[in-house]
Amino acid sequence: MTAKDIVAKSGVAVTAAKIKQHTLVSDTRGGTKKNDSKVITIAFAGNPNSGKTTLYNDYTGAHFKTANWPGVTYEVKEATVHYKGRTLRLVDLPGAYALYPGSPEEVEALRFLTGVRSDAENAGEGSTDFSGGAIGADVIINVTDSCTLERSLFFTTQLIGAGTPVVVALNMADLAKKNGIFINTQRLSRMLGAPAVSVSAARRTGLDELLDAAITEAEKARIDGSGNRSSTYKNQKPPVPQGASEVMRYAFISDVISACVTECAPARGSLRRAAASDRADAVLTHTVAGPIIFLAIMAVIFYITFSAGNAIEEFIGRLLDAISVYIAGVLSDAGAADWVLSLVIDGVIAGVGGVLMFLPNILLLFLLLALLEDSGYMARAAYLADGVMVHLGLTGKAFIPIILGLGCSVPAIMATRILDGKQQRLRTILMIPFVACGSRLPVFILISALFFGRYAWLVTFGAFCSGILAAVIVAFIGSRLDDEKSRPGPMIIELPDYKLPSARTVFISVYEKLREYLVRAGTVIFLSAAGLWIFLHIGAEGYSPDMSGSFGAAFCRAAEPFLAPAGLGSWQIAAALIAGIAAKEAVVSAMCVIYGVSGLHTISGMYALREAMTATGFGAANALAFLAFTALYVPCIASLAVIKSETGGWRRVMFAIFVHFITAYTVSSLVYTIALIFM
Amino acid sequence: MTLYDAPVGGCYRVVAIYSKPSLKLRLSALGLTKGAQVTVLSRGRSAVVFRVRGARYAAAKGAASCVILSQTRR
Repeated sequence: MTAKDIVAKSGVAVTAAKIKQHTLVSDTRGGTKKNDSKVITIAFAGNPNSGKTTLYNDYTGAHFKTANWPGVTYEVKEATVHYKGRTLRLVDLPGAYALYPGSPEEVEALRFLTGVRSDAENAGEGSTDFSGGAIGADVIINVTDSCTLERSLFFTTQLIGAGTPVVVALNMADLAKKNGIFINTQRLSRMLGAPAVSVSAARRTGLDELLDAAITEAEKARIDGSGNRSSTYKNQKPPVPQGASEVMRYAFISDVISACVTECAPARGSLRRAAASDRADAVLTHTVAGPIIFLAIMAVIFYITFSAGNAIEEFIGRLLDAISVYIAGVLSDAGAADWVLSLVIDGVIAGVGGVLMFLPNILLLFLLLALLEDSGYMARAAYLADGVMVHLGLTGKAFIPIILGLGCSVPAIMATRILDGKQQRLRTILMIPFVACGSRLPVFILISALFFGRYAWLVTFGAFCSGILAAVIVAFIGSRLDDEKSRPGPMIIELPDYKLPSARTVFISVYEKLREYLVRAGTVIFLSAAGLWIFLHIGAEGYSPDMSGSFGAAFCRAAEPFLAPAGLGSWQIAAALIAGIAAKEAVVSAMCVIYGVSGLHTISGMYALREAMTATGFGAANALAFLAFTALYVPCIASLAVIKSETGGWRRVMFAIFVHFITAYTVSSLVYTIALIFM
Repeated sequence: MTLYDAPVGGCYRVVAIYSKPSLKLRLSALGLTKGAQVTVLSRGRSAVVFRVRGARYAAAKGAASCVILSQTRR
């Protein structure tokens, strides 16, 4: 009865997979209405960071990412849910400040609302007028932030004038109350000519009332015939004429605010959130202290990620050992051939296990980034970085996707949609894969621990820095080559109030990342480990346990002379690097397969791997070059696929591969040459 | 004076915005319209943080220097 279908239709295929099957409210509530057979389309529109996605997640049970910076949602998402005997199509739109196109994600929202197609690449030019035109929803739920109602209502007045029924959701009602802001919703509804409902998406209050109001509006509009902007207030003229100037709109809004909003002293003992944020900003965005604090935060994230998780690692290692022994036992009992045993134990379990070992580090990294994102600090980081980014032909906003790149390049590349100006987006997209993502962390941790003992953290830190430095240099060169006119306009970014990260938001974010990591270990890493094992065990004489005679080794030997100047001239390293194109963690799993080592959680396992590598002439200088190469070389397949979908062609993908490869080769050759002098 | 060089902590009123139309539209959507009250919160190397109509923004020099302000009494 309550099993529901959900239709995922998003602009980018990668995120479509994220949409969950879900149920909402039982069909048995409420009676059946005339229009039951028809689906009611409800769109969530409003300013960035007003809580549209949180509300959408509440209604649909989906786990889309939310955070406390403007622009988290960059694509249109939709789901079908059943509620009180009706079928509702809920559409979550990226945030917009007005019915004019700005950045690509705003264009996306307005395209849905107005039905007007516009070339996203022209975004930021302000050349296309989006006001008027057909609107793609039966009713719009305009999500507003009760704490910044005056600014939020600007978009509201535009939506109300545009022809589709609007219901105003006064979100964050709990916070407003706590801050001493009281809104007379009845008077507000009358003045706006649209029903207003107080809700709290975070606390899940007022959700049913809001949806009921939206359905009532949509159904009355259908009965009345199209063209009524509001059925409840149908005899009322739009509060502001459609062609009104911004000054007129804000004059009306000022009247509304003074008539409907009462501000009292905030609840006893609590400083008003905005004032508290201003105090924090006095330090966090200070010209001198701000950048120092930012670097300190990054250092703490780096340190915790790098050094924590040993106990869990030990546990995972033991678990993998036990699984390995158990499966070996089962296979031998079943009379499996040697090659099957080797494929499963030395190929799949060693390969996938090598990657799973680093799960605690990766989880911590994602947890810390999620905390940072939900605190409200990201917009401040953008502000602090603007002065530097301008020299790279970018704005401070481009710094947000770059920080996200520390977690994973794929969502970071998609997040460049918050940027206006085509050249700015393209240059940022080229920079992101240089920033060491969580997947490269296992390689850094493993190699530096093997060869650099107590200086391991310093070497890992160096590898991170080399990626960032390379990104900066590439962006700088790009900005010099680009036309002056292609430079983005000056940055304007909203700085939301700071808040304590919400446990639910952080949990959803970390849970999704964990799931992705495990799915990748079970698919890409599994296949690449098994593929690599086959590649390295099949030779002219068929299966052979000696890998050096395989087709794979012969193929990789051909690359040896080319890679030798960079200190990577062995077929084993070439094979590991090729595997890393599938996913960066695969470098680690490949090394476990190639050197026939498992049990990296034990000192003996690490020692065995180091011995095996040293036996092929791989020393500390090679290790440094290898780290530099892994930090900078070709983006993984998932990143390349997103680069293609976001830039719209293979030309950019080939260009990215070329730039990354050349940079990696040059830097690792330099590192190797210099290291040989000192080591 | 412009928003970019207005002293920190002061309360001002927007007198005019001199910029290309696309930037002007963007600024006015955020609430920077003639007559709006602006509080300057802090200033960085090349950007300024201010509050207008209850929301807090950071604007780079290129945008902030287009906004002409006059001093008001608190």
